[in-house]
Order: sequence, then structure tokens, then C-alpha cells
Amino acid sequence: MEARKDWSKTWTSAAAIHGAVGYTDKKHYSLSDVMGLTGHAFRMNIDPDSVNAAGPTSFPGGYILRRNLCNLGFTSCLADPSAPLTPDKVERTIALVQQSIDRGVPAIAFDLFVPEFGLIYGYDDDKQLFYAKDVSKDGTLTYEQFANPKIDLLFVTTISESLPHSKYEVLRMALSMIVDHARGKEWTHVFGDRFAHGLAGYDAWIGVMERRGADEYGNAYNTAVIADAREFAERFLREVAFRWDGANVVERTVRKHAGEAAARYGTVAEALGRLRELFPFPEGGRPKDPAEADRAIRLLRQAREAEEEGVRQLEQLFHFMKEYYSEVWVN
Amino acid sequence: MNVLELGKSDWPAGPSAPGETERELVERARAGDTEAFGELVRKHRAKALGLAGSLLKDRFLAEDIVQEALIRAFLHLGTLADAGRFMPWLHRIVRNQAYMKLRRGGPHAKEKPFCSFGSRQGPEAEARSGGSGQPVDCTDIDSILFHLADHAAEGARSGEEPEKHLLRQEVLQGIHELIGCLNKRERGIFEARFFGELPPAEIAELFGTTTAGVYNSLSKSRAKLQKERIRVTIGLYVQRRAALGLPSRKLLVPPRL
Repeated sequence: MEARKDWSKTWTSAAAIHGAVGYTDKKHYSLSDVMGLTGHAFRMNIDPDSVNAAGPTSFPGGYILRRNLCNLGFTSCLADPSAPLTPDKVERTIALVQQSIDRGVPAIAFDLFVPEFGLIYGYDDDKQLFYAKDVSKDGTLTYEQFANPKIDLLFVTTISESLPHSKYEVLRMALSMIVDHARGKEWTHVFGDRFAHGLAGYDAWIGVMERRGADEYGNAYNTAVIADAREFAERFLREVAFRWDGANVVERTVRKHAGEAAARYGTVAEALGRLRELFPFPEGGRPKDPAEADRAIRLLRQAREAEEEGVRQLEQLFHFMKEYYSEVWVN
Repeated sequence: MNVLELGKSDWPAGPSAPGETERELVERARAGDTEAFGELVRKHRAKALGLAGSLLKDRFLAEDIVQEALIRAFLHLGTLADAGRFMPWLHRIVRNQAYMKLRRGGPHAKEKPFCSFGSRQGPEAEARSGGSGQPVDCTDIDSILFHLADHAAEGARSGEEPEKHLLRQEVLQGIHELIGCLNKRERGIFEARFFGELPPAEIAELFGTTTAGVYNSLSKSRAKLQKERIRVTIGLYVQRRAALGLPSRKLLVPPRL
């Protein structure tokens, strides 16, 4: 296990969302709040052939990120024109980024320097430059480079207005996303069924290990991302169980289910933490080695079993939460 | 079809050598190279989406260019010859093909209806070249149009974006029917204009040798053109913002990520 986890950093796409939220009136949201409320702490997206490195970011970004922002209480804008881009769409996308920066909030974009979500936090028309940062670096890119994406589309999401959601609503929307994802009901758009998500992701992953077919690099990357995610999942649920104060039946039910789910996700995080020791990123260990692969299978089964129970707790909580809407309830 | 090879060379050339194999990329990534990480992710992503090496897409682009040249030739013909006569024709035909079909039996009955070209292509022709039809006589407008419409029909059948292919088929058919209505002199002007836009040599390259290489170079020049177009657009956009008095620069505090 790592010496001490840095709770201000994550391997998941929630890093960019949290980064942007930090410029709004909702900057009180911690990284683990954002990880939990957007569902990124509970995601898993596995390539069933070799657990390749594209898994963690192969989701319909326009849909997921804006639903994430909605969960957090923001309206948002999206640009996702596909290549080859028309001049008109390039202009409108650049304008969207600039409007957001003018409002004081960075724009969320994909593949600025590496194919992950990052932030554009400044512009300079005279030099035709954007100032941007993602997990790989803090730097600049020209408008022209920006308008020539390395993937098949130009992706930008911006935060518009901040809405006053009640904590009931926020938690309910988060649970809805988490449960949909876990049960494989999330809309995958162009990715179809090419990746296995939620609990089915474990089965696909175990299948790859049984065939000794894991790509060393991709497997290590997926392990790093998902282990990190589940550590946040446990932390998020513990904080929920702690903060909801037990003053009424809703508060008490939230505490109960969140507390029990937290314990399950703790088990998941522990198993995946051991998997991470087996397959350190980026070097990746030897996942094709039969003995190593069998160890991995045992750990994945442990994680899956615990996560299944955790999901069941969250489902029960979700169904319960569907009926409650108040911000404060004295009873 | 050499789809895989095209896919590889088509891949956006990053800082790495274009011919770099996946194995080499993985090795670099495992040594902690971020660029290699990026390329691997993009590559797998594209593979999952079925984007890499889409030869058909390139062919579509190539045919776009020819179709554009055809339409430009018509527009030019309109200004050269009798604008009052040709422009309404072009519009009317694209809108309403039935009108032209009536004219078939009239003074231009000798012109083959477009669909009759289809009978030239028996099952053997299809078998010969995997659906891409017979060799194209690149100096003959009818032959070129037939080739394009054939591809459009094939594209519509193959089920990928059928409405796009059907629309194309309709436009091509309209163009062909219009040609059927031209007198000799008018047709001469049209062909001169069309082949001026797109010299036969280029058309031959486009259709005569349907190698991956030709499409690749075509798609590369298309990409260059696209880049130039975007560069100009951005320049104008920035100027317009300045003229409107919009802020030219704004920098927020760098985010923590």
C-alpha cells in the first residue's frame, strides 16, 4: 500500500470537474464529495479483450460530464462537433471557452495534452493561445492546435449557472447515476457494448485474466484508476454517514445504508489496493503469468463480491431517497 | 483492401515515428512516457469506435471532391452560357426528378436513363472488385457519374449513414439527368469546366487505381486544406472580437489538478 493517500488528487476524470467547481460558489465541495456525487468513485469501464488503457475515459463525455455537473447543481453547455470541423463550429467552440473564462470559470476539455479531461483557464487573442492544464502538464496550446483534435471530435463542457439544490436532491441524483452504472444501465452511446461497465466490468476483467490476456500497461492503468476510485468511494460514504445527523428518519436511513456501504467499499478498495501492488503503474508487472493472473482473479472476486453488497445497500438507499425532497426536516 | 495499413499511416502523427508499432508504444508507456500513454489511449479508443483505417470514409471524401467539382462546373456553366436557363434547371431537377423523367421521352430520348447504366453491371462486375464496379473511363462524364452513383447506392445499402448516401445518390442522379438535357455545345462547355476543375489525370488517380495510397494522399491534402481553412477562420474570428471591443486576454489562477 502507498504510504499515505493524497486526498487532493485522483486518477479519475473527476479531477477536472473538481478543478472547475473550485472557481464557483460551490468551492466547498471537496474532491471526495465531487468523486462521490458525480459517481466517478464508483465507475469501472473494462475492455473485455485485454483491459486496455482506453477503458477509463471511454464513456460518452458530453452526457456523463453534464449529468455530473447537474448532480452538483450546475447548468452547463456542451460543444462536441465531430471532425472534420467546420469553421463555424470552431468559432462557436472557442467562443464558448472564452465566455466561460470571462465568467471566471475554466472550461473542461478533453485531450488537451493527454486523452483525459483537463481545464482551459486562460486565453490570449493576440497570440491565439489558450492556457490549459491537465494531469500531464500545465502549458499553452494555440487556437489552431485546439481546433485540430487528435480524436474524432472537439470536446468542451462549460459550467453556466449554479442552482440551489437541496442535499436530498443531490444525493438522490448521485445514487441514481451510481446504481445505473453498477447495473450496466448507463447509456454508452457510440461505445455500445465494447466496454463492460459496473459490476459486469469485474466479470470481463476476470475473463481476461483467465485467458491470460491482460495488456500489462492497460491493466496497470485500469487498476490504478479503479483502486483510487474505490478508496474515494469508501471515504465519500463514510463522510455521508457522518454528516447526515440522524435527526429524522431520512437522516438515519442515509447514515445506516451509507455506513454499511462504506464498509463494503472499504473491502473493495483493500482488494484492489493489493491488485495495484501486483501490477504497479506504469511498468505493470506480469499479468499474463499464470500464478500472478490467478492471484489477480482471487482479488477481483473478493472485490466483486463486496461491491455487489455495497451496490445493494446503495440501491436500497436510492429507492428510499426517491420519496424525500426537503432541505431541512424537523420532526 | 489494405485497411489496416491505411489506418496506421492515417493515425495523427504525434511526436513519435509514424511507423511505431503498438509493442513499441507499450514499451515506452511502461517506461513512463506520457506521450506514448496518450497515443495508446487514442488508438484503442478509435479501434473501439471503428474509426481507424476507415477506407470507406476516405473514399467518401474523395467522391465529395468530385461531386463538388461537378456542381461548381454547373454553376459556372450557368454564368458562361445562359444563366437564366441553367440555374433554375439545376434547382428544379434536384428538387423534382419526376419532371426530368418526363423529358426522357422527348428530344433527348437517346440519352440513356441513368438507371440503365446499372444493367451494365452484372454479378461478375460486382464480384470482380468487391462492389466498387467496373473500371472508370476518366475522360467520360457518364462513366464517372455512374461510378459515383454506384458507390452511393452501395453505401446506402451497407447501412452506414444511409440517408447521407441516398442524398448523394439523388444529387448525382440530378446532375446526370441535367447532362441529358444539354445540347452538344452546352455539354462541351460543361465538360471543359469540369475537367478544368479536376483534370482527367487527377480523376484517373482517384478512380483508376483504387489503392490505399491514392486515397491516403487525397485525404492528406484534404486535411491540409482543412487546416488552412481553420487557420484563416481563427484569424478572422480574433480580428472580429477585437473590432467588437471584446477582451483580448484573460487569465484565471491556474487550477489545482
